[in-house]
Amino acid sequence: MLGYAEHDLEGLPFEQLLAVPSRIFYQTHVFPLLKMQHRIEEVYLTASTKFGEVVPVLVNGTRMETPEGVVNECLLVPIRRRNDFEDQILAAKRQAEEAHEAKDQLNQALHEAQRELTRQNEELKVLKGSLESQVLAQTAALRKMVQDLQGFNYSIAHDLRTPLRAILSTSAILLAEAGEALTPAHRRLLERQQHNATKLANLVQDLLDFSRLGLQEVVFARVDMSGLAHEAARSVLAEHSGTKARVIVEEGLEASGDRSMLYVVLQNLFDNAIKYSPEGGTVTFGADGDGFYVKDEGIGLAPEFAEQIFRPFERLHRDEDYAGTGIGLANVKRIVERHGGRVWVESEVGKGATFRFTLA
Amino acid sequence: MHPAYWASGNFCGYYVQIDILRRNNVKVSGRGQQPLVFAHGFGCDQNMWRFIVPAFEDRYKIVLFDYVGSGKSDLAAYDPKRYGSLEGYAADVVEIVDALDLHDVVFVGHSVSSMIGILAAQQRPDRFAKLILVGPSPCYLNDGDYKGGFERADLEGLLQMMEKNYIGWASFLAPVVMKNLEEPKLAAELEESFCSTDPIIAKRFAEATFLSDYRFVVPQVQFPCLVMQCSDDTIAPEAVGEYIHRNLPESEYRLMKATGHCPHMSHPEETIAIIDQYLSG
Repeated sequence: MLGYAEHDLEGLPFEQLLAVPSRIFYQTHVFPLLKMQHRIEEVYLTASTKFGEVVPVLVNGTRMETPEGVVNECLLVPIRRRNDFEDQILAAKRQAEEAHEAKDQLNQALHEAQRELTRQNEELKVLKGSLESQVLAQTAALRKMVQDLQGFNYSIAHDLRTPLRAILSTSAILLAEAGEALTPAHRRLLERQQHNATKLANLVQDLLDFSRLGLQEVVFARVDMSGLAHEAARSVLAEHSGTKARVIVEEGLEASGDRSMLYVVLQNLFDNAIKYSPEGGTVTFGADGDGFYVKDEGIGLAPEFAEQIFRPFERLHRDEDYAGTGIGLANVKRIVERHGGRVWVESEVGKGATFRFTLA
Repeated sequence: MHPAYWASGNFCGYYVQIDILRRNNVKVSGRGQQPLVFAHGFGCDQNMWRFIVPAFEDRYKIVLFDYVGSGKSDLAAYDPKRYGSLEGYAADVVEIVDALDLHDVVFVGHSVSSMIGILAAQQRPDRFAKLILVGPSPCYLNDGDYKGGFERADLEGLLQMMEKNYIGWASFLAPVVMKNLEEPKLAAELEESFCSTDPIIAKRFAEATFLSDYRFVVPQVQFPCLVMQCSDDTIAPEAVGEYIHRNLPESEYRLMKATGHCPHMSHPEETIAIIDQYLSG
């Protein structure tokens, strides 16, 4: 089976038939076993054929010590197929172990990824929660601050009114009752004082309105805008007794909003329009696709000032040219915005102005 | 009887005192004063010396033992890290010499135990007198001009074969086991088999032995050595025996008539004669 002729084998030590690794195993394991126990059973070794091919063999052997000498009788059974099967089984076992291990590793990786994801989600949730509560807390703090400021403004304006009235009434009494006794220069001084005190009183009133608008609740109801516009126009025209301007109101307009606040809006817009209208100019109140508008034929304004005029105390003209406190349009903006709407102006210098506003 | 000798060590994660003599299945006999310590090689245990020992019992103190992991040693004391290299086995020898308080030791090492003995003696130079090296090899692998006798592939083939004989085999051994059960006496005998070894330990011992290279130690040996070289030894070829003889500072070289790798088993008379001659010379 190993390709040796009988005479090749004669006198050849058994070990010589084995492949190199098997020679080591023979010397370290098989020979000592034979020597000590006189027999070996089913030991797996590899033999080498005459042509150098390696053949797996099972070795059974007995050792006989005869008077002529020691004979180790070894029977070699080639186990090519058995060996192949074993190799296959071992390979399959290893493969299975590797697959199992790979599966375990995959599962573990998946598990870890899932855990990481859950952890990140939770972190995110916590972050979101803390962010939300931070935003809520800051909003509440801001709202509180704004309310405090508005309350502060209101009480200052309110408290300023009483001494102002006293100043106004004393100057009026002085002018009426002691006017003749004063020198003309002193009288002019007193008149100037009365004029300035009146101005200050107007300013304080406007400030008070402005503050009140921030604090006051918006009460929504159906409002007859055309009726309200007539009312406001009448009142404004009465204040500007010298004006030749006229107001045209489009009929049948309605809106949802706070009636008293919308009155202030129309009053201020008419006041503004009439103030800047030329002699005999027309002021029109109406509505179109862009919402309500108050249109005049006055001096108009450059587009770069379109934003500025809605800010408190921002005036484009000197008091001597056009009287005013600089609060009116700021009030308009505040009311419109509290209704959820928007106010803006369309104008060019010398070509009149159209103030437009929407209500949500 | 000798008293119980103890040493401390870290085994299996526990710091415990270990009875060295029990751990290494140490057997002391003989009527002489000078200790003759016999150390078995890879694959066997102290029983392999049974043909040699009787010749020296009347003149020497005979010390036999099994390395941890071999024979009837305490397998629980096996530490894969310690026994991953020959230094671990050398530590066994040193601890036995210390435990028995041996002096003027003649160490007889077969095969890999030659190098183990050299490593142990270098650690306790005051305790050793002579080293007798039976079939020694400082390096089994060929390396350039040095012909250890084997290529790495041969040694990997050996490890594979051991796996088949020990592990892969187990499931195919069923018929043999059954056969043995029909003969309880034989089964018991096999159980007692002097070569029975834990397969994983055997594989690690094989790796520590056949993949090692202790050529650097050889010129440092401070003891007189006897190199006993077999004829036609596959495991330790003559060229290796000559190499070690040439590189040992003080050595005698005997080329034996015995063939194979285990002259103390196959040719006990010649082995005894050479040892005897060396010790009395």
